Amino acid sequence: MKKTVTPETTKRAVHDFVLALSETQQYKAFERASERFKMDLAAQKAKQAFEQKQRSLRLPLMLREASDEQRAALEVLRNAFIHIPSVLEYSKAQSELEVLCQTAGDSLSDSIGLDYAASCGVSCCG
Amino acid sequence: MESAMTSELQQATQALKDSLLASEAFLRYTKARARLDADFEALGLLDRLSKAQARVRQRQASGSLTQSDLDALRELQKMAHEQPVVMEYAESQQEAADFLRAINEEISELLGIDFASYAKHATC
Repeated sequence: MKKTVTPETTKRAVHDFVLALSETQQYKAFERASERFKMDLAAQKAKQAFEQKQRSLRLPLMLREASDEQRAALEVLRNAFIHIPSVLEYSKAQSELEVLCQTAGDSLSDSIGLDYAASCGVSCCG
Repeated sequence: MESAMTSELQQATQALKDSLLASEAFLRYTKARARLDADFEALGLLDRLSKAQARVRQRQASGSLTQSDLDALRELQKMAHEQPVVMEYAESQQEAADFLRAINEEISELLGIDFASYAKHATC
């Protein structure tokens, strides 16, 4: 009969997993990029402007009633935001960390017989 | 694809897997799944239920859903509830998922990101 683990054993396995993940170059790069992005006031301002515009156009866009001018204005703000160096760096670091987490997640899912992300309530559409 | 992971992360992932599989929740789930896989009748019922659910969703979206469709689904749901192998599988799966959510909460709190969100594959 297989022996069950104690909660302490599982806690230790979780901590060791987090430690190993946080020591990877992908996680460290993400931490550095997050910090730079947070401290970049111009990037934060551009993000705010883009998100504000996006919020104001959510309904017209959903109902396909947004004018060409409105769409163009949103696109201008979006491009101004995503091409800022600290934003580019953050996006790149985030994507690379996602690939690593997906690899670890797939490895877990394959063994346990459940999709890790789906079981945690995360849908494929975010 | 293990190549993206450092050897330390591979080892830690393996240890976490082993720990999850040896937990009460997953031992129960693994056992229930094995029983389900060995029960042809229960598997058939689950398959019919899954198809009925998909049919209802599809007809609801197209506006062609009938009372007969709903009755057929309810009948299959009732049969599933009365099938011990199916119920044990469903309950143990829910328990295992709840356990995983708790594990994910702990991982995410320590990492500062929602690990499950980062681990999901976007397929839409």
